[in-house]
Amino acid sequence: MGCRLNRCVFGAGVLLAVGLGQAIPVLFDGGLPQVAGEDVLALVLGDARLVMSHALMEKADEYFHGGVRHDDCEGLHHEHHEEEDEAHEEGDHGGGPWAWLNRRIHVQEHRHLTGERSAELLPWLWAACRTSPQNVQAYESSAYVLSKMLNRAGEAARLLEEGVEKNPGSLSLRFSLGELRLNALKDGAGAEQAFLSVRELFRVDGREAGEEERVLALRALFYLGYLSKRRGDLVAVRGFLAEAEALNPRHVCTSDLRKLLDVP
Amino acid sequence: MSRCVRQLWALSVLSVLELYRRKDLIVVFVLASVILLPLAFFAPFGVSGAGRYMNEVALLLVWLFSAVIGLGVSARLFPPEFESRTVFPLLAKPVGRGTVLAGKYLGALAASLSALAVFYLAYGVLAGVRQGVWFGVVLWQAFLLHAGFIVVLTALGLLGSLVLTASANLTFCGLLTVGMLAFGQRLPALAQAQPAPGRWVLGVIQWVAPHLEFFDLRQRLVHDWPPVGWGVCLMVLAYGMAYAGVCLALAAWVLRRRRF
Repeated sequence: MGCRLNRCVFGAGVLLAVGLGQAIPVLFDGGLPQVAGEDVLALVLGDARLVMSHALMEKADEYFHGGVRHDDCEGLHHEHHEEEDEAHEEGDHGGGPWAWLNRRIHVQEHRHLTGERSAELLPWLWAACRTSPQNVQAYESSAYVLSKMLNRAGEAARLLEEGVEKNPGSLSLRFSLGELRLNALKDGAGAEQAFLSVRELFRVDGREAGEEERVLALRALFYLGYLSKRRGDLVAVRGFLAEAEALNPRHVCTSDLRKLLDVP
Repeated sequence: MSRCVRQLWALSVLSVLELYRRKDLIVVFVLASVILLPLAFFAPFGVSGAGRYMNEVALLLVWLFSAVIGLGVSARLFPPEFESRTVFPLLAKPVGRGTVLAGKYLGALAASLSALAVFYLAYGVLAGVRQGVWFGVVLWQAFLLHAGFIVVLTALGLLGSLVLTASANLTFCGLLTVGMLAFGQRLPALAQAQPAPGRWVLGVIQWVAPHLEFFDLRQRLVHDWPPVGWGVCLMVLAYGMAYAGVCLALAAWVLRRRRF
């Protein structure tokens, strides 16, 4: 009898707990102390995700240099690395017997990953993107590795589109997407769409924009002018030139836009 | 002489049997499989061809588990004997305290090294299957130096078990291991960059602390760098033996002076 009562009470308790668990979020929507996160990582790590994501980027950079931390080198963002694959010797030779032995055990030079071997960077870059979708640099570096080092422009474009979706306020990601569509995928219409979105976003947030955003807007205007010229739409080119002159009349993009109008 | 060897053998075999009786190896193998199997099928951004991350994670697990086993086995050699008072019948037999210490140390070392050999065998097979490189020179050097690391770590754990409580010993040795592996290489530069009192402290740490980072060849193994010179390898092994010898001599001195 007692056992049966226990089971009934237990069953009722489970039902009540499940019922309340389902009902409370609906009844008190918006009034609960906890805010739902995007995912488990967001819930557990919060803002520490960005720090972790940067650490993973550093790991990718270390892999790029053959497992060696190399602060003097500018990392994944410069194309000249593709051509340099010779090892570079480092210069530190002090520190006594322990340092002497360490120099012979641990590698003191660095080399760059090239070609198909660059795929070794992807796990860390993937983890950097997934750990913090707000890390714009992770998306850009991953897209760079995919498109320039591994010739996988399609995957790079998909990744940048995902980045834009998660960071709608990033001019840099939109601009990178435009450049990728134009140069690697030869998709003029898609590129124009991306550059137009840079222009629109800059118009909205332009007053608070820094120098970097201004330069991106100028470069987007140049590309828009170039694409319009390719279509033969000189009126549009003049419009973009006027916008560029308003931003910075002496910038190289502005003068290049002028040259576009001068050349028949 | 032969009696001493027989005593050492009996004490060592007990420690090895203890490790396999507790099934620690099975636990770490299951744990490693749970971590590594999903990683083996991982293709970031839909692109396959990356393998170094897998080697790095596998070697990290090998280091972690070997350190846990080495420390766990060596730190548990004497405290349970003291607590359960089984040390009295052991010392009542015609066995010297030095022989007991050496036998127990050799047993802990044999147990840890046998686990390490199994780990490296599994790693060698994994790397061979994935990359087609079967037991290269760097892998042998990495195993040898890792064995040197175990020699030092078990000696430290044994010394610690005689002068500290079990939890303090594990914490201290764990922190020392992680600290030296992470910062050992940069200690000389850090010491030079400090003002006077800090420089002296770091200088003392640099000379006294075990340079466990010497035994770590993961970077060369993961990133396909050429092997270390064999002379350097022998020098590091000699350093490990000497450091372990000092720890064991200190442990023997502590055990001889200990009153039960």
